[in-house]
Amino acid sequence: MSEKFLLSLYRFDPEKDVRPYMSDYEIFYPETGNMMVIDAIRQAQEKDSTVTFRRSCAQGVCGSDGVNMNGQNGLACITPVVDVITRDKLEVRPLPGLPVIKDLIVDMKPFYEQYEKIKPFLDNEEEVTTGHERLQTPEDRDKLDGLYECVLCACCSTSCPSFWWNPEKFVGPAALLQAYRFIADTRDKQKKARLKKLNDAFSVYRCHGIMNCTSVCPKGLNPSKAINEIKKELRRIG
Amino acid sequence: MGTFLWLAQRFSSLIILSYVLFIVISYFVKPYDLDAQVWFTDIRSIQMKIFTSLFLIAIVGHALQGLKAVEDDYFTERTIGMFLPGTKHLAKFLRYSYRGFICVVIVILSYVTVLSYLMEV
Repeated sequence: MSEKFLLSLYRFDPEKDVRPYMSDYEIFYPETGNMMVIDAIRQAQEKDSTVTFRRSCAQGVCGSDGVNMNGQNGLACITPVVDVITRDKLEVRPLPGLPVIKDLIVDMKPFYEQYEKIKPFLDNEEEVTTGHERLQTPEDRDKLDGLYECVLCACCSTSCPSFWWNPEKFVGPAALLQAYRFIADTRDKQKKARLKKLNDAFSVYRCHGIMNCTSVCPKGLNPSKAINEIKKELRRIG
Repeated sequence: MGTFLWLAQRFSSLIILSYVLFIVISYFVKPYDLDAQVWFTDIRSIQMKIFTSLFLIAIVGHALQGLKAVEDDYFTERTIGMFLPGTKHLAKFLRYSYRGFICVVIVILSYVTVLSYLMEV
């Protein structure tokens, strides 16, 4: 393995630039050899302080550093450079399909609007008379595994062509995963209403099952499976 | 509506598949390549007319959904503006032209089918 590589970053400042362009930076691997993409971007920022990038926890929990690395979406903080680099070159671009605010930062508004649509909260108006929280069986609780862990990084939705073309109408894999999280929750009492709201030509059925979402999810979740489960439920209610 | 359209697309594809298979298998089972009269007699039978009509309805229904998806994805201000910057204002016009073209094709297809095949005018 060579001791350095070329990091090519997408640059665009709407206040100054007419068109986006790529800036190249020579990045050196640390002595240990282990380097995450976020570390490479930090090195670039030390050389050029105008490079703009959003990050927070740097541990794959906050989901704020989703980027496109050599064509693959993922979280820069938990993606090793060696996993995505090709011929000593790494291109980092903002998540595709969302408007660019500056450099690697995208406007997540269209993504959050879809998330808001599916009402991501437990909807149960029944009064709790037991004096404690609403209980469910361990088996019912198990159904939520693989659904609630989503960190809303938008890697899945922005790798989905259906979301690129119709971000206002197609709910997108991340929000659909969350929709199913509440549809599958036995404590939620709005299952039918939730399903009816999704029963149009776009919200769910625009998913053609190409599974880009599942292949890029940095948390190893399976939005495609959740979408299929929603489709099954929709056919059940007719 | 979403589930209905999803089911309609799958059901219509089954009709299309069965019709195509029936025609292909018939070609190998019956002596169509030796005697065209056998083909004409078969295709003009009332059963084949019903089956062919069903096939054409299925094709139109199936194709309309696919063509609508093409319209939704590509005849939008976003997509047209991306491929040809400065022309996004034409999106609506292109969308209606596209719909008009599809309607003309369906009308011609229906006219030919009903008059020259079903009614044999």
